[in-house]
Amino acid sequence: MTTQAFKKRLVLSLLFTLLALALSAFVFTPPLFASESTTVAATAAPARGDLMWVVISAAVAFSFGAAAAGYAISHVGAAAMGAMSEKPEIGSQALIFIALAEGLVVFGFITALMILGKV
Amino acid sequence: MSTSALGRYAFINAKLRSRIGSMLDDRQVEQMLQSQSLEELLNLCKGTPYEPLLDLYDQSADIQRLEAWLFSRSVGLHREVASFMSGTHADVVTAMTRKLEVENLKGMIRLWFSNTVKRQNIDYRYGYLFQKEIVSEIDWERIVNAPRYEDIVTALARTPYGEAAARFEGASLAQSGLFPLETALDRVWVSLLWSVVGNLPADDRKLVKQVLDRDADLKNIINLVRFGYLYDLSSDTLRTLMLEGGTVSSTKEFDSYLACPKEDRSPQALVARRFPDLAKQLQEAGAMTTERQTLLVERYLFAVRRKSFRAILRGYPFSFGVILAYFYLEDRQDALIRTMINGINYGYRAPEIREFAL
Repeated sequence: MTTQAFKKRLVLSLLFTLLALALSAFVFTPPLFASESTTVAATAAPARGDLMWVVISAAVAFSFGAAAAGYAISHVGAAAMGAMSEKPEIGSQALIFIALAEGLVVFGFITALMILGKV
Repeated sequence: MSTSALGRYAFINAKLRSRIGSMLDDRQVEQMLQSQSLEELLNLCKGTPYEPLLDLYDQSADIQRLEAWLFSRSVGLHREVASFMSGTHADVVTAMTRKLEVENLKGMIRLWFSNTVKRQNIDYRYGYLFQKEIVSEIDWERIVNAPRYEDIVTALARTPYGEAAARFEGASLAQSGLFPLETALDRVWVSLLWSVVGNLPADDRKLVKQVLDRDADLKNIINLVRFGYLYDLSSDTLRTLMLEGGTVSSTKEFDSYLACPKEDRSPQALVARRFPDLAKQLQEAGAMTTERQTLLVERYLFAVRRKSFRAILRGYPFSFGVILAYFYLEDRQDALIRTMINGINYGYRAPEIREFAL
């Protein structure tokens, strides 16, 4: 891949992430956009159908976070192994990068908890 | 399942860059160049990838064994990198390993030539050549001990070199020497490399082609200057030396370089359009001997090559470029070590060794 193509892909990925975030904000936070009557209804016990969507939302948030972390770790981990096989002394530095990737699943987990907290 | 460039190169890129980071730096090389003896030089190799050279020298005090070790290390590195790749990418690395196989084959045929044609004793020399399989299954012993050239052709029949070797005859080689055969073998591995590069994914293919084209151009210019200007070979022989790829051999400068009489050949005119800086330097160095001018051209073109590999290393990391750059740097470092070992062993001083170490 050329540098040009890499930049293009990077910009596209960022745009896609922003779009996904915006969509999630719109879909997963109905109380902010709902009318007063629905807000009152939301504070009451959710209907069976609403509960299903909340659970699905939490699952989606968590599973995307986990999948993204898995994808990132597979590549960061491979690179870390490659570098450590030549220079074992950089092991601790490599772990930092793996931990950064691991953070994605934590974000997903927190998001899922927040969504479930609205129930 | 197709693998993304990131997935394919994440491991190998990190591994090779770590190795590149552990290569000898300028300070270490300078220190080595100042060594007063071979023992001092080899002691400085401690803690570097060349540390085994010290033990080897302690055991044998034989510098040819050190060179043999450098060659087998190089084969090992190529094989290792190939084992970390898969599919077409591994095929390209294997095709690159054929360069070493051809070098070894040329060495074996030279031994056969010394033994059979020149009637020299070769017993002690055979032990310094690599006798294991590199890429193709070649019976090295059969080549060295072949009673006639035709037996070498038979021994190579099931390898990619068989066809090139069969184009020559023992009697004609005894007259002309091995040079035509050696250049034919060089062209075989370059052509094998080109044939597998075409199967790479588009991005890698583009990059590798660029590098091979540039390398072919540089090598062709060097051959034209060294053999056409310094050694005055005929135009027909020069044409047979041209490697596949690049654009040099299709330029009008190339045609006029070969068309003019040997004594009128001008390296300056040959490189004027492509490397105007080099042409200027050659013009300024008009009073130099042909040998010094040839060396100037080689130095300049090697520097061009070095710069382009550095640019590859600075660029997008997940490409075949990192492998090409790694092999180039390893090759260069091995050549430097080899030059220092020989230079110091034969009593040359640092400035002279530096001169040889292009």
